[in-house]
Amino acid sequence: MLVSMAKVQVIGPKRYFYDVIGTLHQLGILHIEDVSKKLAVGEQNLRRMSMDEKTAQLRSNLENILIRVNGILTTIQPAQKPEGADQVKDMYYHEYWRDDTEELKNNVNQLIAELDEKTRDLANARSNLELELNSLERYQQIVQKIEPLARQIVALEGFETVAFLLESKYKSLLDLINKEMSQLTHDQFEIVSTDVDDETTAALAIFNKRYSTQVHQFLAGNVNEVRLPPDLAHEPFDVALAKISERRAELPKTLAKIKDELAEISKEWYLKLSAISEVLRDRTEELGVVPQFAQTDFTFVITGWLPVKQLKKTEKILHDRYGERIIIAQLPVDHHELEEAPIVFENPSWSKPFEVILKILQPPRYGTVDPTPFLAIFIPAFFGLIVGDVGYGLLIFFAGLFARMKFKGKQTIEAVGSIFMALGISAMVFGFLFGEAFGNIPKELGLLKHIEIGGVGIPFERVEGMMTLLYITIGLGLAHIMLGLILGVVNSMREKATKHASERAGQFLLLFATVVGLFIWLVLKSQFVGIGFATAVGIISVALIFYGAGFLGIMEIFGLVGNIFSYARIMALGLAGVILAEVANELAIDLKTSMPGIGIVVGGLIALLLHVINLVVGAFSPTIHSIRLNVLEFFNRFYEPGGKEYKPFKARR
Amino acid sequence: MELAAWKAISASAAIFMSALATSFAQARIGAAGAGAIAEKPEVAGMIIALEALPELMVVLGFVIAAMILTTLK
Repeated sequence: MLVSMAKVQVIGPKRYFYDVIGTLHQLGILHIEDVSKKLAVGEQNLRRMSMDEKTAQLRSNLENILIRVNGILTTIQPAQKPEGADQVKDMYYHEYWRDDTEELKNNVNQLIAELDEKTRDLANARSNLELELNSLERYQQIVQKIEPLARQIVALEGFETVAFLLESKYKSLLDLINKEMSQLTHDQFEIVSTDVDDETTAALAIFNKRYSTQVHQFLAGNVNEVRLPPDLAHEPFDVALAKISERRAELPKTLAKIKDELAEISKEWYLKLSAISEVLRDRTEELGVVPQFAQTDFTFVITGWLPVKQLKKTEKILHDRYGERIIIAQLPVDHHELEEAPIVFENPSWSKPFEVILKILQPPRYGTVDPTPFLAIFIPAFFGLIVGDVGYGLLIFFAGLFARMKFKGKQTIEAVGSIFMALGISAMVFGFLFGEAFGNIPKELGLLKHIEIGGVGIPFERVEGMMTLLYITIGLGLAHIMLGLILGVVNSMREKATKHASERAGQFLLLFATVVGLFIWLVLKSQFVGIGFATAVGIISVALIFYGAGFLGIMEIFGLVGNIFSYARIMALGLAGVILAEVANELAIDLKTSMPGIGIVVGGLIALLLHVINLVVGAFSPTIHSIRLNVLEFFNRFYEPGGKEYKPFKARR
Repeated sequence: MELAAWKAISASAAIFMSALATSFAQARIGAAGAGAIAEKPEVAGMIIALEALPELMVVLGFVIAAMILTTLK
């Protein structure tokens, strides 16, 4: 059901303006309507509300402080949410919320002045150390490989050593480098090389210092010279390696100390600053909505929507706090203004989870029928008809239950879990009617007992009764679409769209005439009366359709028929699933008999695999198609999108 | 040719053509969907749903094939 909404106006002297905004923000009920656009049309006495310079400056200051607070929060974010975090945050939130905006600004500024600098320094030190650790690890890897090479080369007075790296796939370049070095140094050089890892080869070149410039020029343009950190650059490789190892042993201790310090700060400040961040966001939000209001010379005017049943409560709270100085008045709304009303769903627990499916569409327009209860009935019904298997239904039910329990508190996942539980139950119910549990296992085991209820044999075997199932699903589609058309007429009448109502009523009558005419002809065996009735009512319905939608409306009848046949997918998908399950079972039985001993294991594994595939496909595809039949075929007959989501002006706590 | 042979050929044609149509549609939707998800990851749910829709063609093809095999005498 869609909740009845009231359009209200809150009016009062300007000196209470910010207090009233604060009260409404804390109350969290009013969906504010931006009146600034409507004022442009030209209301003589009303102007758009604007912030005075001081308040605008204050808001800008609060935004800057919020950025700094959020910066600190990012630095000191704990790995895990502390225990009892919500209660503690709640306490701090209310402590700081009590401050007026100016006080809040000064208090928070004072609080974060020292903390901001300290956390920034610690965070910088942490990231520098982490960076250094990473680069030292790389240097160590390289120098460790180069150092034995360096030992192979006798250090000579007047000779220089250079290390460089090559990608291993270009190792053959070393021959070219050898040739070039030979020319550059007149054979006064030596190069040794080794692989650092799978991708890199390190090489060491020793050459006469006299050719230093030419060699460096040549190497710089062709390979990556190993450049150690400045403090190690002039050390021999063995000394550099020792120093790198020493530093690598030291750094983690310093890093741990810094991390401990940050953890201490986080323990002490994280929740407090999180609460302050929420207070600051709420305060800036309060000030941010000011331009959506209107003013006269002495009064402010706030316009918005709230649920009718919340009106009295809001009136009482405003009256208790401000007496007669603030007026809240319910405004009369005409048919066009109702289109502006936001949508609030109010459904019982059995259908509430299905509201989540409507989130893939635009909300329904205010005043039209809420489709949620219909989704809660028809989606599980169609799903059950398609899957129709006690075993699969049970697994789907438990999957839904698991999702609900595992993600407790996450509304959307909980709702999806509940939907899957309903789908599972429906699949089990139809599974009993079809006598299926993981395919035809009950039949193979001789567990099925055929009974007859009202002339209908139970279990109804889908493979044998393929054509009957086809007629049942198309009949179901006809009934579903006729229900959609009745709802469509109701919606059109509520929206005072007479022509639309006429078109939908005509379509309904046409289907009704066909069904009743066929019934009279085929069941009551009166061909003349049947055809006569269908023709007479059919002419009236075509006239209604023509009046409502013209020639295109007549063309639409073919679409209507197509939509009804679309329900044949229920039978098609169901049959595909049941045949795949049967194939899995038959394979297992065949292998058991044809391969004595091992056959039962191989057959069992293949059957298990096919059942898993069938279950995954069986949970996914029927869900999509059940939703599709509702959202496309059914909704097209009545659903009026374009509603606005209810977004109450609400503080975070 | 005997009826049994015609039934087998017709059933396989029903599956073959509908499977070809489904794979063609799913390939097009998949390619466009991958591009759309790269640009707007929030549309992933909708794309997965759209990707599943054409499979109805092969399912109906399968049913037609089953009807040919079981109902034609």
